[in-house]
Amino acid sequence: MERRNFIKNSIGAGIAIGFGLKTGIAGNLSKIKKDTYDMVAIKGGEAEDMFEKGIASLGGMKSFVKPNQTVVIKPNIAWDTPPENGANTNPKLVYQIVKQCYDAGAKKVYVFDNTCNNWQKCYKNSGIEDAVKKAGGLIVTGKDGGMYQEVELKNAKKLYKTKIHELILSSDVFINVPVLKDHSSTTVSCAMKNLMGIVWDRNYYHKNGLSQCIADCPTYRKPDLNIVDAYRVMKTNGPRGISPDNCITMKAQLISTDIIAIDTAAVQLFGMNPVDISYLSKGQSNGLGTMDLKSLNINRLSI
Amino acid sequence: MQKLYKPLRIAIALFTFLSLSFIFLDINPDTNPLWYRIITWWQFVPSANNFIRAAEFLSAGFIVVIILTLLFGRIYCSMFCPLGIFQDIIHFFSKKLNKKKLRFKYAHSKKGLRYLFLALAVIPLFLGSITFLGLLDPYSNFGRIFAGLFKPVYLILHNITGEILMKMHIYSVPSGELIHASLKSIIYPFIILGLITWLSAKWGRLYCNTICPVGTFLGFLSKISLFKIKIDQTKCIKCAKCCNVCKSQCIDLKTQKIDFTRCVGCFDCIDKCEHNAIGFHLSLKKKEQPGVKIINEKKDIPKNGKTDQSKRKFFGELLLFLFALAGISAKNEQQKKHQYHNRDGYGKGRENGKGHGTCRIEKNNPCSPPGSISLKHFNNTCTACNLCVAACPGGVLQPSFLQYGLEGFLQPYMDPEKGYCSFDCTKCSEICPCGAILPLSIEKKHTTQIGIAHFVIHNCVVFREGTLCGACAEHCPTKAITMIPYGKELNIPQVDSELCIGCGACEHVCPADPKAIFVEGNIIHLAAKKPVQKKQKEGSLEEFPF
Repeated sequence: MERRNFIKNSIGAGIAIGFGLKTGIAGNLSKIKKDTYDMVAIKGGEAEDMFEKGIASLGGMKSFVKPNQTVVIKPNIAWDTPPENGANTNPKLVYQIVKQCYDAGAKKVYVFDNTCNNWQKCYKNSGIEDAVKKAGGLIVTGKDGGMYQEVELKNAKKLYKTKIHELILSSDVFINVPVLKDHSSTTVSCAMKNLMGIVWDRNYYHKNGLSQCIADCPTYRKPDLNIVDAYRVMKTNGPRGISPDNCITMKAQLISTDIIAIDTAAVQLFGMNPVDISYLSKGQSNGLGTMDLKSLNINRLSI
Repeated sequence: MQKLYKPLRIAIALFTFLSLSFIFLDINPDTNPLWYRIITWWQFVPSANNFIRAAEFLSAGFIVVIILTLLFGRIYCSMFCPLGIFQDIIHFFSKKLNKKKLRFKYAHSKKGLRYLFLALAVIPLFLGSITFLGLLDPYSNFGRIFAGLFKPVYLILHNITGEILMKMHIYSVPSGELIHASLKSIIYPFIILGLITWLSAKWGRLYCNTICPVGTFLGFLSKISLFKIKIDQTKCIKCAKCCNVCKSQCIDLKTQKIDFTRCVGCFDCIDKCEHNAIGFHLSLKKKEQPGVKIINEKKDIPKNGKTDQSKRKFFGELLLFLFALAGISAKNEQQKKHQYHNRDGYGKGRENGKGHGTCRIEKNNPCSPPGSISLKHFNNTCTACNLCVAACPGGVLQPSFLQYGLEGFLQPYMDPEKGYCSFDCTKCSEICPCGAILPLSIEKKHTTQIGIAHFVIHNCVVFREGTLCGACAEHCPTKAITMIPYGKELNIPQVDSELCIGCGACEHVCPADPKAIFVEGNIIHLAAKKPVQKKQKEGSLEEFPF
């Protein structure tokens, strides 16, 4: 009886698998089993090439952006400085991401930041406005208080209530594209710190415990994808920097859905110990992700 | 031919008015500064001021105005003076709105008042103060009205449009940040706006022919101008149509003479005359005529003992107001001097109810914009037209009230409450029409120290709350502020005053209340040290560290 059943089941399963393979469903399944990476780290190429290769190993942009979805991209455009200073995200990378979103069938791709310096100047001099427009994306102001809506953060420990940009609230896909750099207050600025640019009142952070607020913010909406630009890395005088001399050309990039893991890896790239960055452990205890990179399946690529 | 003068005048006037309105209302930070210089090049007081005081020889617009006046009379007042054109526009609409037709009559020149105001504007110049000239100058008044009153209104309308489009998910009209001047500083432009609206609706160009020092000065010159408006006594039938439209009220039909010192060259009279009796003609043998005219007027004055009493009373009151203003300012000056003694509020830990042990901040001097050399140069040269306030992309330039004391009444100052000076921006120095803010290269601006930041540890979040902050150091463009270790896990700001340029970014972003860092203005702008950067060691990534 048992043997018969076993044979029956195996035949059934075999047929199912075979059918699945043919139709491609199981093809996807098997791929996920084999190549599901929690993070991709790429080095040695131009920012746009690294992204192309990296995202392909995660199943391409289409596994994050579905046709007809709206996408919001939040790069770091905080400072009125040229791209070579490394204070803002590499415009070539932003261009490539916007392009890939459209290739994946996105309806609209928005890009904004709540800048520190005059926003028009930041958008222009960072080269990001041109890059976004070239790729067909829509650049939106982050300096209009009316576009921010108050939300409650139930799992927060300090940032209970804040105003978040409506594009973050309304878009289907949220992509966070920080630049890795030195930071005078938090030592290193990367993915979590970058999200300070989606809230209206930045000063609240500074008044009420910067690290905790940084760790609280993503509890409202975690980015669907994080892409860390470590092509040029500002090693000193951050976050604004003074000249291109403050940067090294690291030519690296990280892609992950886990904001804590990607920050942990980025901090190590920067040459610091993740334990020393207080918002990381605070974020981990907020349940945003894991700092334990050993438990993750990381795909390391070089170009 | 003569009938073409009026349309030509209106075309030029509209062009002047629209272009000047544009530069005062523009909210795009990237507008080419050259436009500002071209559009304001004609403006008499700023250009003369720039030429004489700042020795800027390119700004010779006022010489052209003088030549034009010597040729054609005060056509400047109708074609190039924005406040004059603004009054014409008000007058035009008040005529449209009023059903009862407003008809002008000849009025005598208010010579005493004209010279008084001219003296009030000019004599202080020799004593080194430009304040009164600035307060009376038509271009500067126009600027203050537009920058202080109209721009916020324009911005609100712009933002409402943007908001409506945003609801439809169109983000192409980004709203501008509404940074309005302090209420105190817009009282004066508000009064002037009310005054010219009332005067122009009722008496046409009375402001120009009584208060305006430029009008009086150009009036002098127009006595000997080559072309003049004259009545052909053989053709004139004394129908008084020209009189009725004359905004300057300067056509005397009894003597069939025109007081050309008051004529603003609007050519309305020529347009109105059906008999071609009044026209713009060459007047060569005129050497004696001005003399004759003056005698005529002198004769007229005693005749008309009871001219408009209400007008006289009004001007009396206006003068009183101006003197009162001077009085208040002087008093405030004294108080300010008194403050000098208990300077550096920091370190004393005075309580002010806001928080336990915080220090109140008292500044001795505000910062003047980079390029203005020194407070003295700035206060002695700026006519407070507020063009820089309207154009400042950072919103840090704001009209002062008495921050500079009397000598800088309404002149722009750096207000870190409202914004901070963008590191790579030299817009104000590129557009200043009167030479108060001199052109500055971007490299020089990077090391021009307009003030120095002072850190008040007792107010600092790091000291008081024991949490990370460092907003000041983040924003500091020269890294004059660095974070040094403080306790076990924290770091606290430290200011290197040699590197500080006084941009005010630190003060603007400081979350503490009262501020834990503030900029004290330099009386004379100094050169800051250029931050030296060591090149980082290049090293591409061999292996991922994780």
